[in-house]
Amino acid sequence: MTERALDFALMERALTEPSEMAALGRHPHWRVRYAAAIGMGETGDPAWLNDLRAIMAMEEERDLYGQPQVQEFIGGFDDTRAAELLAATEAVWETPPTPEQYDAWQCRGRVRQACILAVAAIGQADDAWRELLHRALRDPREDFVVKAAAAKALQRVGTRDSLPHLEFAVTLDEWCLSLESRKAITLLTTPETPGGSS
Amino acid sequence: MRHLLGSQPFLLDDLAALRTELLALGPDDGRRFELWRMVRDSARRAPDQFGWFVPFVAVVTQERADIDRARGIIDAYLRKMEPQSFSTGLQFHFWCFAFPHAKVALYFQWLCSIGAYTADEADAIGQRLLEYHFVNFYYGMRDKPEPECVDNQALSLVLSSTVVGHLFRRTDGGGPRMAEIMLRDGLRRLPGMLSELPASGYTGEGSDYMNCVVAPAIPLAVEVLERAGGLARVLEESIGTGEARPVSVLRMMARSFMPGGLLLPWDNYGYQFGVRSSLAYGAKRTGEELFFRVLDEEVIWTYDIGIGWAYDDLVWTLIWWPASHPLETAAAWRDWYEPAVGAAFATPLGDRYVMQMWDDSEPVYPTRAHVNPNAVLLNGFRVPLSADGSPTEGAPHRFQFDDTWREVSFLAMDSSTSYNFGDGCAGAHSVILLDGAEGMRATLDYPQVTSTAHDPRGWAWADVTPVYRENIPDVLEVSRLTQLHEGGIITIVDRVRSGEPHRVTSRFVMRPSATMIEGGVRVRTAEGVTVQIVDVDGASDISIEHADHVPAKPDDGSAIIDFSTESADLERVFVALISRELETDTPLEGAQVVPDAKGDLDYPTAVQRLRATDVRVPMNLPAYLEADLPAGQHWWYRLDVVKERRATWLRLPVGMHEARLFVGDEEVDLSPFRISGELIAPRIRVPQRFDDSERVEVILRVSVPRGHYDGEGWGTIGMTGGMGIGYEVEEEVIVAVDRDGPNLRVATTHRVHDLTIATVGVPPWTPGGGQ
Repeated sequence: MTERALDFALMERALTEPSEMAALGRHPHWRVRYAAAIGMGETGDPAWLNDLRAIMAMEEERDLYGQPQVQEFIGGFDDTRAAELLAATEAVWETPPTPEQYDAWQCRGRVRQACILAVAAIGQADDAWRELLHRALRDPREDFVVKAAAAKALQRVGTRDSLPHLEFAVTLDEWCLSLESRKAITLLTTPETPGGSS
Repeated sequence: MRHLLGSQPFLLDDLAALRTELLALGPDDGRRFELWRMVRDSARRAPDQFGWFVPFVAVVTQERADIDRARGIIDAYLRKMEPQSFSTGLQFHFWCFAFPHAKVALYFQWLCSIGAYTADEADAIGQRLLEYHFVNFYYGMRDKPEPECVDNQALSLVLSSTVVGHLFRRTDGGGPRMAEIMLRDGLRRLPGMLSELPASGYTGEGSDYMNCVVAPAIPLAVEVLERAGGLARVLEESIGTGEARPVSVLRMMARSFMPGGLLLPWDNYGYQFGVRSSLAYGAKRTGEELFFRVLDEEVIWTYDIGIGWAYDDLVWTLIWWPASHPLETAAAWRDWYEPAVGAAFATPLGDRYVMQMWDDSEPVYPTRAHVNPNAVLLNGFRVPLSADGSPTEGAPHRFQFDDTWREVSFLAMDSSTSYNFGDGCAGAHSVILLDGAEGMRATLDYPQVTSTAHDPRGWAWADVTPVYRENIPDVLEVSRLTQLHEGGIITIVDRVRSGEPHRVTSRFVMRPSATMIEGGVRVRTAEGVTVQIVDVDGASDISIEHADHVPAKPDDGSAIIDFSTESADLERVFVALISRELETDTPLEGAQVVPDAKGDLDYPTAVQRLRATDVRVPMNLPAYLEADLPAGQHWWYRLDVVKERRATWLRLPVGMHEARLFVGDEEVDLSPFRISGELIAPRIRVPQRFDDSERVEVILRVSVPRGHYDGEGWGTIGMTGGMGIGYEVEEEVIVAVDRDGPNLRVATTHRVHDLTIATVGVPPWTPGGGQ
């Protein structure tokens, strides 16, 4: 079996076998961890919160957003024009990236989004998780996709302490993040909702 | 795996019947044959350049060589996937990549269904396509707020996740889990994507997104929901919590075609050609005349316009080709009215056309849905007269206001982008302006139209006061009534009431070349179409200003025509008369053609070869798609033109690149049509010294796109329209206009038009009623 086929099989197990999710969440390949995080979220079981935080910790040790840009795409483009091409292309780098950078480029915030949306699906979080979510909203280097996921998760697990972070996120000029943040603020300031004022 | 890979090709219900039909087509079958021949021959002669045609051709012919070419295309895409991961395009604009990825997955499934892959190959490739979608585009779909996000981006992500999930899930319910999750979430969100669209069917994103993303997604979404989602009548009925019916999107897309085939330039991007597959689907599913008529009379048939970031519009047009025509019914088939959007009226032949829009603009940043309250667009003799659309990229222009710069940081890696959205504000449109507030826009979300009225006999009215009142609080009414009268004259009635006097300007943004005439202005396009716009009461100050670079197309600029007066209570009545100086409708057929393989043939050599060749083509497509010629980029044409002994004009094809024209050995300057010629057929004066000649030799040198990609992401129009010949005609000119209340007498050089401005159903205007 090729490494790619093996990864596919492991991703499938990470999505379907609760007994293996914790171990697969620590797998060296990020696609497997991504699938494991989604699999944990699919269960809706708060027992996974610590494992999800462990996956997040692995991601925090990686330089997810600092990789070099491609110098040129031979036969292709760097922008959306690449979408329309049915042709093999080759990425040319000024300095060839390390394997870690190469891997991080493809991953960026995918695993972090999967972890955070798993928390949103589970609907429970402790203060440490909330702190992670607040930090995601504030971190200027964080992908907007991850920030939007954090705002979405806070709709279910946020507290009034989350409000300043969400209000800050509303001011950031990105539609999905702004909308999810406004929804969270509404929920957290509406009586009789979890975390809402009473 | 027992999945769809080995079963019938998804969405091709009866492949055997489709194959029988297409393979039996011959020259007597008209356009469908020509289209199939073009798609087939492109795929065979230049598969790398026409990759989006290749899998379909293989599935239809099932010939080994075609299948091998299709496998090559799939393989090339697979080799693109990993490098593509490092593009800012994929990372920050994932929705653009999701839709074409799903199309490739679909074509791969078609190829599997005809045995183009072994089971092991199918499994390995299927896993790669599925995992790539799960990692990149399911991730993207989950970024879009549910259920609020209903736009082209979310639709692309949701629909593609549904398609890929459906294609790769096992039919016995045993996974893969990735496919099951994507199918589950896609099917949950897709109904809302359709039902939460605006009930009018117009998304406010302009013709480009309506034609190239939203409308092409509708047929696929409908078919997927009916087949994979177990729903029925998805096209005709609302299937979610919202009120929209998907067929409304198709109708609005069809309505966006103006006479001549260019789309309404509203809201963003400007004039362009429209797609065909959504029209074919609308015709096939509904049988409505609108779809047939636009398909028959307005679209172009050359390659190619992207749909969902893929150049397979013509493939789906062949698949959804409507079998029968409806009975011809309404002469006014071009007319439409949507209470939340606008209205359009045209004379039966489409020679005179006017559209008035009042769709809501986007508050704060009107990047897509522009501030164009009651803007009018004019079109005459199938040529656009008004100007609207995006500015020339990177060029400075007068609508870059100090307070309309925006810096965004979510579109690229580690960098921010600054752009100016001033061209989306009111001043860049043919609207009423108060106190010269060109940067007028909404800053809050509120209903931007107070009320509208309409009569199918030819008028529409809308009150668009709110956005003016937000900017100037004492404004009480800003409205416009547009009416197309029998005989083709257009009247426009502007009304403004306010607590204090304001400088009230009726602005018309028109194609360049405007001059003052008695009481108004005359605009003449490079194609010889004219419009005279006259202020009936003659009480306005009139100015004409040339605006460089706005819009980019068709002229890299426009004429800004202002009629202004200081007033607190104003009713201003305009008469607009569309006419023309030239008539070039007679086609010239049977052009001799020779290839110029390296693009280096000199004129004498080309002429010598042209005179000797027997190969003749109609010039509706690049020559290698009309005759048995090698796929090439450079061509020379020759016509021996028989003409009348007087001043003569030639109509040239649309979409020529690096064209050179020689008439009787004399080169004619085509540079004035360098930009407009991409969209509108150039009309060229034959040199005066040939006015008394009965024949002239016309030589045309043209380059054409090599395939899908020469447009570098903006679509590629491969020369179309053929050539025509024509002569001067007498322009109808306004001589006098007399008004008696709602009654107008317009005397022209041709006749007297007695008109009555609509009053029934239009709220009355009371002079002095502004307090």
